[in-house]
Amino acid sequence: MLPPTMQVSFNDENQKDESLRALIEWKGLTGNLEYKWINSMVKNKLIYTNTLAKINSKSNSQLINSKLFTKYYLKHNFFLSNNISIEYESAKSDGYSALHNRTNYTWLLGLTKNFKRLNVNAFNRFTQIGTHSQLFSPSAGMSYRLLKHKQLNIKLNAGINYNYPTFNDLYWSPGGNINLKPEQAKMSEFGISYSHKKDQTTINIEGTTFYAYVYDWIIWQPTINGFWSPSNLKEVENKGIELSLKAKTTIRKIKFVSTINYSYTLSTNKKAQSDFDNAIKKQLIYVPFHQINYSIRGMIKNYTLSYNYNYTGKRFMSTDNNWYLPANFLSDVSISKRFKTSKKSNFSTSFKVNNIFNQDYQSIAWRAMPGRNYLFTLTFQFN
Amino acid sequence: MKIVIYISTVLLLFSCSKEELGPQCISCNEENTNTEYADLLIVNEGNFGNGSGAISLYKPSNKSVTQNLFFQANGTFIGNVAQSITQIDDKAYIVINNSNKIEIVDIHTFNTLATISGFNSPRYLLPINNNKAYVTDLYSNSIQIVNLTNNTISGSISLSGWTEELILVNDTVYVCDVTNDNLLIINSTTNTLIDSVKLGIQPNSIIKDQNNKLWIMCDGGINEATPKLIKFNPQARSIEATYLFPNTSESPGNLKINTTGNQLYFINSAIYRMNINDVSLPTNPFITNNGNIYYGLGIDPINEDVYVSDAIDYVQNGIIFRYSNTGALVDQFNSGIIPGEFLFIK
Repeated sequence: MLPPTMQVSFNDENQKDESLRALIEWKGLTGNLEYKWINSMVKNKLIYTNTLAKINSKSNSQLINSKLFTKYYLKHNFFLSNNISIEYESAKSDGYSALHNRTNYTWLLGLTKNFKRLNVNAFNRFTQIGTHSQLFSPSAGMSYRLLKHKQLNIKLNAGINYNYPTFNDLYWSPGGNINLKPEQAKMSEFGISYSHKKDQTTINIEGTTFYAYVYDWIIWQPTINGFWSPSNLKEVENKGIELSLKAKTTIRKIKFVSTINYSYTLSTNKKAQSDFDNAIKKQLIYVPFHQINYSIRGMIKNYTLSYNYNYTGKRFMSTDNNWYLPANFLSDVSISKRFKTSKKSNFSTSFKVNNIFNQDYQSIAWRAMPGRNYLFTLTFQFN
Repeated sequence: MKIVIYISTVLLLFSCSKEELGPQCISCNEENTNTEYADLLIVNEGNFGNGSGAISLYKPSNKSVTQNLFFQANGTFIGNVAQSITQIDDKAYIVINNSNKIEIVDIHTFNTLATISGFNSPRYLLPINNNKAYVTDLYSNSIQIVNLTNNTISGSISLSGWTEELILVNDTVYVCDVTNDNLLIINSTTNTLIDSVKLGIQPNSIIKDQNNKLWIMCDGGINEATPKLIKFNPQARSIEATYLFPNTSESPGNLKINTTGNQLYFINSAIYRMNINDVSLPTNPFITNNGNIYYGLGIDPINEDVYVSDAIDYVQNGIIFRYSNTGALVDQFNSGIIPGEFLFIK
């Protein structure tokens, strides 16, 4: 049963999801060769009904995937990565006029070399998604320890990535557009990190700046023919910084771990679709400028007490940035205890209070989120 | 542990900031304005589910624009998917589709007077007499009968499927039945369906000309059939003329008429104007679309100025173009999200 939005007096919508997953994995090492082979299968079924609108829509999809990861050591500090993935996707939905399937191949080839203080790598990814193939999708990176006896590192990464249209983008009837191009993203990042350990205390500090430019961004919009259709309409610039600080210490047998992450993101629409488009140079909808996550955990014997704080800054709801959802902040507290039942098994109990300050907030406009709520968990573990 | 203590203090400061809840609108903080005779009200649908439906005011005399009349007068948002607006005396009836209600406001101050609730998915309201109105519906398989005296739903007329625009001629109501491609004929005294006439695929708009003939636009569905403009004689209950559009990919809609009742206007990518005595559809547009995707159309009953909206990307404030009756651009201004319907205050 899906809850109605706050502006609707009633509705009768239901969604049923069924999912079946299976995974088999082998890994090993022979001579200079390290390998991992993962085979997986996912079957999804979704049934959506809306009695008010008389909608009864079904969709079935299936994914079979086989991935082989290998690392071949040319020297102890120099290796060749060779990863191959073959994937078969098929989907049938009331929204399509027929069953659709495609086979996707990905081949990643790259070299990594570790020097004393320097680490460098370069990769190329070949992809074929259905009938669309992409020969080059290169990336390269390096990291370097600046000082001989201190953990002060810089890292640099750059690459090109492609994001392929989904079956809905291609085949939804009406509107699906089989002529869509993949989205192309050019990305780069630069980071600096420092870690320090003294006695019982460890501190890690990391700062990263990133920049990405996405071409051929896929977006669904109404057409002159009266229905919605996707096209490669937009260009988006994504840049920002991420800062994190992690501290670990022990005071009077209590082990403390505290982490704070902050990110500042500017996701800007760079392409106007008409002379009157006020979305240009504006922040993308539902992407907050500021996000903060803070957590602290205290552990003594088998007990853990933790506090978690999440801040999501103002998010715009309209592309011209005239409507927005205000910032929200949530705090959760939990206490847990672990019991050892035998050598090979243990169980733990935890009690968690979500949204402890009973903050009213909406993640999506007019979709009320739960107030203070409680969660009690029992976990058994066998080794 | 000095660092951790410092961080905790910062977080407490964050927690003390001013509290806002739910969607906020920057242009909602403008000065409120009362409306007058001949002003234009624009119904902005807002995005489905997110409550950005709003009413904009445009004064053709001095070209001033005021956004979000309902919010400014009442401090609450109107709801989601504002579909249509109808004036009855000094009241405006605003049909809010997905919020299943009709808001009644004073048309001059926009202060809320009453809310009629209990609809399923209401579309258009038509006053029948001083105390009765009909409301068409997307999903309810019926037309709701509204008691205008106590603002409640007093009954319904059972039908099947989506009913859209409707019009009253004498005591008979003519309704576009989108699902079954029919023109439904209803006796408004007995509230009964007396006849239905097959039209083209998906009739979406209906108007009455100076000779009391009805004109109905059928958009032909999505590549289903060629669209049709139909001229209907209500006395004889028969189709007098059918104008076929050349391509199935066309999707004409928004059929409007001037006050005199002799010039038809509609959107078919561009804006077309057609005299009721023309023997064929116009081949050249009255106003070209210039790369815009036109969404809603309104004809000023006084000077026959043409107002047309473009919703741009449908997630930002749309733009309204005002053309004179010779097709010259007079003004352009922003309204709210997805401007769909126009009402000139009587």
